[in-house]
Amino acid sequence: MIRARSTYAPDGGGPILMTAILLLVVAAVLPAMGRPQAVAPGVEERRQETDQLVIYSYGSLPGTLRRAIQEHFEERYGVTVDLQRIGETGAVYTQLYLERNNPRADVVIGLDATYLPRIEADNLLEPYEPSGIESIDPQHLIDPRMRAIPFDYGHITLNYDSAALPEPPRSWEELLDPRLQNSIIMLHPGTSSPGRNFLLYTIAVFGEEGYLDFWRALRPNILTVTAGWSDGYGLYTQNEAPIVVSYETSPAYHRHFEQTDRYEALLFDDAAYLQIELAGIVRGAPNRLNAERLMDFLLSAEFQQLIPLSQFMYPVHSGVELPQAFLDTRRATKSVALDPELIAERFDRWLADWEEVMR
Amino acid sequence: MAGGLGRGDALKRPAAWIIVCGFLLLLIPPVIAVLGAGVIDLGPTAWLERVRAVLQRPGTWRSLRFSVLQAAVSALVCVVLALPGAYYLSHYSFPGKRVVQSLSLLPFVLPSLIVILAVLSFYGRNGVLNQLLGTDLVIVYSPVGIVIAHVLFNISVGLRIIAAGWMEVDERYREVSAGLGEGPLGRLWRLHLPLLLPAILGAGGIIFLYCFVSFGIVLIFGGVRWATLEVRIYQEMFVNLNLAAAGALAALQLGVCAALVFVLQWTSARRRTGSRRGRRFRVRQWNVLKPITRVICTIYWAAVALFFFSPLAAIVIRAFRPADRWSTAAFTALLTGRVGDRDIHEIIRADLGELIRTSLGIALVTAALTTAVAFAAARAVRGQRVPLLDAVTSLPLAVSSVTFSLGIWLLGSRIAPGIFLIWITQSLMAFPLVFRSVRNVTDTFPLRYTETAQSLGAPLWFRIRTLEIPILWRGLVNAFTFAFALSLSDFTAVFTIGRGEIVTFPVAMYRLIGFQSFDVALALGVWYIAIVALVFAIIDTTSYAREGQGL
Amino acid sequence: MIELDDVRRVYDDFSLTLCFSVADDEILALLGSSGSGKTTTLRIIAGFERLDSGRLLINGVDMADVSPQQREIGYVFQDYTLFPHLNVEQNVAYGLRVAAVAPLERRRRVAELLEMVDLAQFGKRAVHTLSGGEQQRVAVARALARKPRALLLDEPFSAIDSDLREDLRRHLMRVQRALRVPTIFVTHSRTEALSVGDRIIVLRAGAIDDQGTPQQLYQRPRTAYTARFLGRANIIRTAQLSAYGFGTAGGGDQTSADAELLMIRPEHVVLRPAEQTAETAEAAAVTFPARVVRSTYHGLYREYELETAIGPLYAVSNREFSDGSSLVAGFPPSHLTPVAPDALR
Repeated sequence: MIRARSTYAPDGGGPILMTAILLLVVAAVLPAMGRPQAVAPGVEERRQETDQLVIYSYGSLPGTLRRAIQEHFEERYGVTVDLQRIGETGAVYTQLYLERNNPRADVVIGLDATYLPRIEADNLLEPYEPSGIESIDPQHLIDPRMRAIPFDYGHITLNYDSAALPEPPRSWEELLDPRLQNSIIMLHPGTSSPGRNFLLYTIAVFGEEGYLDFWRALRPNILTVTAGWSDGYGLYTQNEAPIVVSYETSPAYHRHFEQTDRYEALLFDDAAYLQIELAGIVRGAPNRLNAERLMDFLLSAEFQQLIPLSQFMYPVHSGVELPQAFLDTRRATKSVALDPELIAERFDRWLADWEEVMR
Repeated sequence: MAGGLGRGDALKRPAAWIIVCGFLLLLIPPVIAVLGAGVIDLGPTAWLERVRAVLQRPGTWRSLRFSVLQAAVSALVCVVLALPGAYYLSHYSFPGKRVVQSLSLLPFVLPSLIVILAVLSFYGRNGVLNQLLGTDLVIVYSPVGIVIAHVLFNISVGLRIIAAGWMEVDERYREVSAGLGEGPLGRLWRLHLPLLLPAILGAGGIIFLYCFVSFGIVLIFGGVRWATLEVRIYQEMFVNLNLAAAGALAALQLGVCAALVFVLQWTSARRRTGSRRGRRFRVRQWNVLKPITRVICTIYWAAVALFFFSPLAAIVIRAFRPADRWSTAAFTALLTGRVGDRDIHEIIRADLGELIRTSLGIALVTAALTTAVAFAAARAVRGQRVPLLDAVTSLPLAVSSVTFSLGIWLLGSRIAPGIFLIWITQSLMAFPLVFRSVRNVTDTFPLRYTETAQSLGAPLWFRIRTLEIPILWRGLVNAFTFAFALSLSDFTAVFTIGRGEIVTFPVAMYRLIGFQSFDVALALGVWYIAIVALVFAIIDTTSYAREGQGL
Repeated sequence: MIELDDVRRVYDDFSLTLCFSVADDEILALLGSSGSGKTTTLRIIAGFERLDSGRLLINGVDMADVSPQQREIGYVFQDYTLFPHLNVEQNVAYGLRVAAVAPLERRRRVAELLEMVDLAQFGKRAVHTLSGGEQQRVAVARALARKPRALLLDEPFSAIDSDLREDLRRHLMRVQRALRVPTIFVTHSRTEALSVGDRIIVLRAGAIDDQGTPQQLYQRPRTAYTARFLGRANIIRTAQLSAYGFGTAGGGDQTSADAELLMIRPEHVVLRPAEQTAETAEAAAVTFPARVVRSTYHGLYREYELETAIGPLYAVSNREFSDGSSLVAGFPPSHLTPVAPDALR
């Protein structure tokens, strides 16, 4: 009787209904498959008054900054700003890359220095020298060709919870102390940007020869490795472990908003790994004039002074005063950083070797 | 064929092919748009070189091995733990059954971050368990943690699918086997398990796939030593920006999942449940059960509640007790929008009302769309076994949702509004589960009802409206609930496609955590749980009320 | 009026060929064993199965392009398929809702129909609370609600206690006569076919083996198959009878003598003790000695299995003979019917 089960009355409604629905949906999606190969006009041709500005940034760009940008353009130029916040930095970059022949965005905000070689190789940004560039500390101007312009910077280092760890380690050696077993939350260098910078930090400190030995020794003290900063920092503030990879300025956040001195940064040798955040004009930006205006605005004192309490990073503008919470927090006096070219060349291997050790 | 249903129409219906092709047409272009970019860019030679490089990495194969292993163990544990529960749910009516049914779906709708927090709140070093025991056990940062979280996440899938399968097992088989002198254990082993195998394999397969592509949970509890393929894909795509490698890994992941799905389909296709004619199924009332049965049943649910639902309760406690003292500040913050100097609404980019409206609005449309399409598809292939179809429709489980969402955005953003793309993406992602549960019920719909109605002159829409929907109502609601839950808990599609402008609960929670407003995130989590529980309760009540009611 | 004009349906391992018609005031019984194609025949008429060639006419209209829902045919499934989510009234009203009959009129019609099947008080009942017979009557009422052009019933009595079948038959016949709707019912039971059908069609492996009124088919079947299907039948080679005076003057008519096979029902076999051979010869054209092998008591009569010179034979008699006793058996010529042999199978 199995055969009879397969009989379905000749009503035909099922397949027809199904086909109709599918065709509708497919018809809606398919046309987009063809990718028009637009040839971008020259910069001068695109430097026109337009009423639009499209910005790509990462998901955690603070609302304060977004509002500042939008209000500035609305009031000053009558321009509507479309600020799209896309996942994490990597996702922003991937999106730019996939759209490189037919760019939608004018400006990207929030790439970090490790992307410089890729920006070079993929030729994703157009050079522009914003006004106000003279107020930036020259050591932060890492792209001499002026395609990626720094707008803020910070330091990656370990943070600790003084409530759980009254006597923090004072050096890399002390960090290996067995009393700190299962005490560190690490962020995965493959999926998290601070995690990546922290790995680079250890390579900068111990050298290519020594960093793996360090990690081998550190391994027992690592509780877990999370995919992103949010997860890791969440575990940390939920008292799962007293030490976490984060920003040098994270304690200032708790100081400012929660009025607690509980959290502190660990600054061995008063140093931390430098992380510079960059903005730039997308190659072929349709609204080039507005893009230039935005780059100028990003470096203006008006915008720069908003950065500390929204981004919890340092402004690149040397004239901006830091808020009290920042002044109360220990700060690195030395910045450590590796050459972006070297990182681009070797990072894959460093990461693979690191994973091998952590396995 | 005494008085049989008539002779079968040997013609293979084209519907299955239409669905398979249409489905692939929707699924593959976005993936290619993202991952195929590598080929266009590098040229085939360089591209192949990169693909080879990634396939030669030992880490790739280690990840594959671990992905399979942890998913298999999680699925196995899930199914084994769900078996008694499924039995109780299908065979007994007990106090609190409805609550269990509704609540068991809760973890499933939670964003994985919240599940992680729940597990940690309970099992973590500073968790309830350690505090009660006065110990410092590090339980969760190991494969044990992975399995606990995966079970918490997926046990409802196991409970639902297996319970539905068990309700298909004819009561008379039990009676016959008892008559042949079979004891309860032998009956379980020789009768129920073989008959249940399709349901068990189905549930196991789906749970396996969910665990296989698990990302955050595996990383947090397993650490880097246990990176899954999904982690590697993410890494290649968004960190190394190596689309060729990401493509190769995604293909590998897809291949393994597809192979598994095919094997499962093939195994269960060879088994068939018996005739439904005269089928009998009886749900026993609580008060007629033997005391020992009642005790065991109670212990089981108490254990499940303790180990898998109390982590949720722990979240609630944490939300009300941010810093070791009771406080409702986090909740007030959500309403007033302020905590100290922080503007919560600014961080979330929506107030609570908007959040609820957006979340429920998207989820309702997605769920309706998915259920409707799944219903239409399931009708079209009613009663047919098409392993290819079942396998293909399971594929979204194996597609990295970040990749897919990005692809949909790239292809669709110029022609359709974001919200429309989110509906499509979420529907596709929810389709495997929804289609499976819709199919289970449509296949039970007797052809004779359709023919009787036809002979009474009822056209297609009239039959659907007056017969199929009312008779299959419970099953459809069940499927709708799944789709609703999946949509509510979706973070990736909303965030990737919504570009930060469309804010649903998970997006808001991630934002709050990103801005270190942890207690507020938990409070939002509690709001979310409450709203979801309320919605489920409403769905549940209406579907019960609807049952047996005339028209 | 339903007409099937050389309707064919071909499957991989089975084919169906039909040519018959049913008049408006007629109840046709489709009788056949499992797999003979009787249900398929109903499904073809209802439009659930397509036909490969031939024509199906209902009231003179060709049904080729008419979908099942436009055919206006009442179809009652073997298990009645009452819609489980509707009560009795709602089930009966289903077809009227399809036709968008106004609620008031609908209520009136439903009451009328329920009255007709003696279920007037059952309107609000849930269908699963009904007995098999009640369910069947609801199904019939539902099928009749829109005054169908034909009523098709698949094994209508099979799931019902034999005590109730009588009632149901009476109901069905009464309803059919009242509404004058051509009715076909499928059965594998000869008693049902004989007692309910105005006419019977015997289906055998997809083809009509024989058709006629119950009496015709029982007494004068065309084929040996039908003869056996409708009841116990003795099939005898004509050649064997010639030794006992058959075919000669006064021994049966010429048609019978020309046929290869003859059929006689057990109740028509004349059975006497051996010593009454002479009297037997008067009553029957052919007589021969027989011996009782086995007998079965049926109350009103006894059935005997005999061993005779022409082979084993069944006979029915109200007289009692002991096993092993020698008898004389005879065939009255008027009850010897020529039948076609089972050509194949």
